[in-house]
Amino acid sequence: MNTIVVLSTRPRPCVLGCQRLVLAGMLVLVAISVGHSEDATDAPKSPVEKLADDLTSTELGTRRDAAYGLAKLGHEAFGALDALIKSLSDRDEQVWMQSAMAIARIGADAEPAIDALVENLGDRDQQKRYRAAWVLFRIGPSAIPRLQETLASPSSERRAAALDAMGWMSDNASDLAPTLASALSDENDNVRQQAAKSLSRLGTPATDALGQALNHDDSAVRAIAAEGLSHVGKVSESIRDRLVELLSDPNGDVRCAAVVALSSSDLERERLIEIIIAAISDIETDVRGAGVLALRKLGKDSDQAIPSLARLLDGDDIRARQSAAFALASMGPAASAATDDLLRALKKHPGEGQEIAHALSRLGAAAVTPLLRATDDPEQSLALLSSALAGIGPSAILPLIEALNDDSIPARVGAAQSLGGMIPPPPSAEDNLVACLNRSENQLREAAASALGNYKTLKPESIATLISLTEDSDGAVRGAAIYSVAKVDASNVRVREVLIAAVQDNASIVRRRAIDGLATLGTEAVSALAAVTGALSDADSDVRLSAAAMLSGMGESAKSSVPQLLPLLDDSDARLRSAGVAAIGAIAIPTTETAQAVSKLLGDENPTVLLNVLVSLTNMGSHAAENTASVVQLTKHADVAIRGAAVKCIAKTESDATKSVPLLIEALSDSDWTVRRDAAQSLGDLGGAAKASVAKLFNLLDSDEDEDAASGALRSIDDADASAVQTLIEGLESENRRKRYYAVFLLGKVGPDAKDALPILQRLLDETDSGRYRESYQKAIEAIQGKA
Amino acid sequence: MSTAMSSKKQSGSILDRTVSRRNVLRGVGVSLALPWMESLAPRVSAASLGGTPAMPQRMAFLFVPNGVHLPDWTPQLDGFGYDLPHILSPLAPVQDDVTVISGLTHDKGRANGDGPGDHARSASVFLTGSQPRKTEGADIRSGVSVDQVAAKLTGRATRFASLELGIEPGRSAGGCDSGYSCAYSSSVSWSSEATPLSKEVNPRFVFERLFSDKPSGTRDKDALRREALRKSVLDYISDDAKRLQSTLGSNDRQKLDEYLGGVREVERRIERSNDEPRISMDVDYPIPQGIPGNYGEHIRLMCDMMVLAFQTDRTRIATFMLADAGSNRSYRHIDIPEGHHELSHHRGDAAKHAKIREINRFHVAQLSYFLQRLKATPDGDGSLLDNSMICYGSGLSDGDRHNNENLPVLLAGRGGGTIDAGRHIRVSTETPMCNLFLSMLDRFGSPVDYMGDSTGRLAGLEI
Repeated sequence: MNTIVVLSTRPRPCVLGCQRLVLAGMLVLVAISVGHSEDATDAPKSPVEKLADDLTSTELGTRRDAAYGLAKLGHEAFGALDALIKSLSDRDEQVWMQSAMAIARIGADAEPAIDALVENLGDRDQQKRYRAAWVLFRIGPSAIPRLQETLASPSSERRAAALDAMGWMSDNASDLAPTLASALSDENDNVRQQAAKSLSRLGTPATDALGQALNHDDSAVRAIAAEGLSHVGKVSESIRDRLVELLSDPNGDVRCAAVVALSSSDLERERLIEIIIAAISDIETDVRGAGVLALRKLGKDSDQAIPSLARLLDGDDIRARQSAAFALASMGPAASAATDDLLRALKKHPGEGQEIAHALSRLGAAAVTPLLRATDDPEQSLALLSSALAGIGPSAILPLIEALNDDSIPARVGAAQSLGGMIPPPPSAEDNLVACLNRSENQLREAAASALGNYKTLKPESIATLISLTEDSDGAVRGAAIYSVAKVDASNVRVREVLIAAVQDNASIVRRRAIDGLATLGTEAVSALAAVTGALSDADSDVRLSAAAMLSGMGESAKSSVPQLLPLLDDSDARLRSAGVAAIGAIAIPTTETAQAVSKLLGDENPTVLLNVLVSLTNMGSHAAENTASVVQLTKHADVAIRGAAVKCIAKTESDATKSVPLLIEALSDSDWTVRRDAAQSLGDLGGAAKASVAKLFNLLDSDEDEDAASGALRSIDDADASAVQTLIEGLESENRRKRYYAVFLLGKVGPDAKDALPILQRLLDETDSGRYRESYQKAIEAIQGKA
Repeated sequence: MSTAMSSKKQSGSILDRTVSRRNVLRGVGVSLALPWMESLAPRVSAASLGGTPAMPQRMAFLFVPNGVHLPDWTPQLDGFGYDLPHILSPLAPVQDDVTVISGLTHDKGRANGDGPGDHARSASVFLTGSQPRKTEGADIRSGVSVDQVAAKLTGRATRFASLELGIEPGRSAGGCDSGYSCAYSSSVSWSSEATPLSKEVNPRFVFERLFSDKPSGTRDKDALRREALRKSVLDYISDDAKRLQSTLGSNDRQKLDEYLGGVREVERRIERSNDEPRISMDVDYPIPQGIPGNYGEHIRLMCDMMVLAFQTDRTRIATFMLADAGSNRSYRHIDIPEGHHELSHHRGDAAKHAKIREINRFHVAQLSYFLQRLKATPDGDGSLLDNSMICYGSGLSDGDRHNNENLPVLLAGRGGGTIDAGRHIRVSTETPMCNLFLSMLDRFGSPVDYMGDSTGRLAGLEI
């Protein structure tokens, strides 16, 4: 093939220049020389000609290989331009995409491809529209007239894609800005917003148009325009004034974008800091975030904002205090001038303690000493100070190890807590912390023992010292040592013995910590079963609670403890009723009697208890079937989690599908998607017995929230009956690809009762280009005709 | 398949040209590269002229299979101070260095007419942005991956152009996923469109390669002798290390101690894994010597190896597959006995969602470990993390839908101060992932006009 079609009838902008004329001339000469050869048809083809030929092959693999080959050639693929343009109509996505890439890489000389590409701007596939717009940009200015014509298209998607292409053409920004500005008045909001986005991409030449867009009625356009101006940099005074006005816009996105734009402008520093401080106090998170971003943009000058941020820390507005702490944290060590302010705020506002502690930790090594000194202040929270110190990280390790010997006891305790709070705790501090286990101060021994529990592994001698501390005279110290030793080495036989013995300790804190430590063993804690079961009647309710929680994790190996758990169901403490019923559900062998014992709490007023009752009954399966009526009531409960648990309970306990399926179908209309998800999943678990739910599930495929659960259920049910036929027929031509797929598949499952679907299935079969769809239509038709 | 650690064929000559005798400790069969130290810097350096020496950029790509549970991955808030959903919560200690990027697409991971095989496509497209040819035969085709684009342009500066690491040995031939060659599922790194690079899964071999002075290839006899004698590489370079200590300033002496201690710690952990029983509950293939049975420890060892390689400038580019595409590994160590792939087809099941998100969180926790190690390693005036770009993600978005838009992707590190990290950025729908790669290559000093299906640079990585 002699590809010489490069001279377009469309007028070319002069920018294309001599290079293209020379190229065209050369190709004409080549063509003439080929034309004059004695036997042109036998002339060996060039690789590009061969690829161009292959691109028209009926073999898909050959076409694909050719398209891939041409896409790699860059401008050399020019000789195959005709074939590439034809391939923009190829039905195979890969041939289309690689042909488009090849055209893009040819660049300006691919002008003849413009019409075909503009055609693709209206494609149903979003990636194809995006890609076609990009290729038009790569072709460059010669595409502009056709893109401008496209703005008159009735298709909003085509108009938006044309604007997208123009937005990339920053070399022609001045010519394009008026066109894009006009599109801001488009009737379609997506098109208007795309126009604003494209103007933003054009940069400085679009400044005036973006400035005008700041007055647009559509808040999204205002926000995009303001954000676009942040890339322009210097703007006129009038635009700047308008941006300042937009700081009071009712729409948060607009305010946010205005802050960002002003932080990029040449606004005087003092005024900008005022704006930043106001933004940091804004009601909306994004605007506060924009304030922090603007602060970071100030670079070294950001320290000028510290006094204002300190005032916010001291103010009455919680939100502003949190944001100020966050802003100071984002400044890192540069905010060290705010150390005292942060410490004051930590004391005054423990509610925001975490944010303030984080800011203190970001100050780095310079904050270690002030933080340690603050431990002497009895009004400060030692836990928060320790959290700040731990957050400083490696640079705090040495001073903290030194502080373990500080004159001040709180500083020593704080240092131990901080070292243990580091992630991971520093290996270099292990010996120093172990040394603290022998110190006289109870608080220090307790803190050091807790800190050592956070190490993944400890030296054997450290573990031995910790074990010896389990006999400490102080209960809190024993408790800390018990729990730490369990965390580090619970599988050690000696440690287990110590833990089991500690369940009988005089101090309730030790008993509780010992049980919590044994709980880390899970099902391997059988040797502790008797001791822990005994603890269910402990005088201390926290100990009873820990014991019930531990038994829950032991599974059936703890089933002998059920009789001792039953009294907890009558406890006045809701935490214990809840833990008791959860444990019974987890460990009991299901029986009707146990289900009855549990079900008496179906009327409990505490939502956590109710939730655990439902979970326990669910675990008991058909033994709990007598409770269906009461459980159905709970599908209307105000608490979403309870409604979901009730739905699952019905599915597992009611073995008669004629009763459970209608209830579950009703739950598919719940206002909360998680309940609908639970219902869909339960229906799926019932398989073919739930085919009456197909129509309802099928309609849920249109919802982003329900799509996964509904399709999962439909796949599991794998059947349908006549009740779904009309809904499925409507789905055959849905925009939703998944719905189309399920509609075809499920109509086939219905069989002869779906005969009303035959005409439309036959039409779709005749029209489709897709081999996969053809096969699916064919199968469905055959199934309905009774041939399959 | 080509080599597992892309070394240059004439590594000796290049090593001699680029690595000074003064920043390598030598012993018999051992060559221990040193981290950057002030005392070892060239006498006339940018620092001595009043500036900060330009530290090399490092780049790593970590792949996880089967997508993620996006509702527990994507932060609700944009910009600085974004929230950390459950899966990302282990990143709290390094959040300020992590940029979460939502909205990127790998269009070439879609079927595009090729039908099933999403898992294989998701790995082969991950760093190439190219549609793999559907074949189980030898005629595989994808594209050059971003790490290899960088390696070709800058790899000559280091002993190894790049490191390719993994956990699962995988297969390089035969079919693994609905008509796709196993090569697609088990490699993310491609040196040419037909050459996937096989990955090294044994930490011991990686360690030996990093610290052996032999050019390349299989294990050398010195390494085998060291192993037989249970000797550390440090035993062989101790004389040289003592001599060097006496010439260093106090800061650098401490730095050297810490570094040698770190090397020894990694070596010890590898030795421990040699002694472990060769059984793992998580996988159904035998575990060779040198590979820990504990999955988390295996990942962390590989991460430590990358840190050492970056710290000593043995390479500046690495890829790491935390599991192969479509991996059905179970996670019993976090109480999840079911296979990952099996769970990823969750069909909306809340219980499966809960397990998937724990698996996703486990992977992110290992990433957090890697990032914290990089952050704790000094590099010039900052840390290794400051001078790195660590891209972590999956080629699939949701493991059940098998979709390739809105991919879970994050970029950690500051790229030598060119990235304003610590933000959540949302990009327009259908923006190619390869646009991110172009922006990374720019910062790495290997700018290219395009790669894969890129349509331009990704704007917004800097304020």
